[in-house]
Amino acid sequence: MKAKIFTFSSHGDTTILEYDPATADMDEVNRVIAEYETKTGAQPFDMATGERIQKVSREQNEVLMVHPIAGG
Amino acid sequence: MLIAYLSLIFFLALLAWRLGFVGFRPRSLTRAIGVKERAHSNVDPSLTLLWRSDGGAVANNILEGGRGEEKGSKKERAERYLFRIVALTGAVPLGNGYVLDVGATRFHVREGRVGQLRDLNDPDCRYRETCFFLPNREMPKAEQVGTALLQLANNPSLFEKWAVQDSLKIKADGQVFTHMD
Repeated sequence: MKAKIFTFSSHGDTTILEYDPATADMDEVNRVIAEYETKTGAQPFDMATGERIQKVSREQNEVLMVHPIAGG
Repeated sequence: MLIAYLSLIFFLALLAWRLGFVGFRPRSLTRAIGVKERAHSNVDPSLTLLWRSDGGAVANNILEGGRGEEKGSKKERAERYLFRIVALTGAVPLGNGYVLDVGATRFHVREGRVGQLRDLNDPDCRYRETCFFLPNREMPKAEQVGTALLQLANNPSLFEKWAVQDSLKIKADGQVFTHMD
């Protein structure tokens, strides 16, 4: 079973990264997420619980990178 | 004897061709289905990276609308994600939006606007409202509402920041996002 990191964008749901959670290097997965956050400000949420997470683990199969919101 | 030699040569040639074919096959197949062998030189090859930090080299699938494992149009998929988020956060549909209770605070989230009733137990509590928007305004409306619901459910103090810090991009953890492209 594949896990995925995805985000909402102008194209709708968009996959950023796919990997096999059983074998993937999770440090590498988290490095990609950190890089994406630095670039966009988006932060990871577990789509199984709806909670924001600090680091993605093998237990999370679907992680949504949630973009910043501005008020006005 | 000559027949035996010819047979042996034919067999060896066949064996060499077969080994060569099998040896090259995975690479051709990978190319044929368009899988990125190494999208990023520093990334673990077991990962399929579909986004790159250099912006201009975003993987084709993002430019083409993302890899939709789920079927349906962009709008339909966005609505399905919104329904999932509504279920996860315990929000309830109301009018053209959703009501979300976080502790004693009630939020009313709808397209581009969010209202707050700070204390459900206080009948004199004032109802406040602010606009919200995602920097990417082309994002489907259902995903924008879903994004606001997820963030408020996890961090209700974000409402105050959206209301006060006009036009600043606020991350889900409440920090201001200052990166500029």
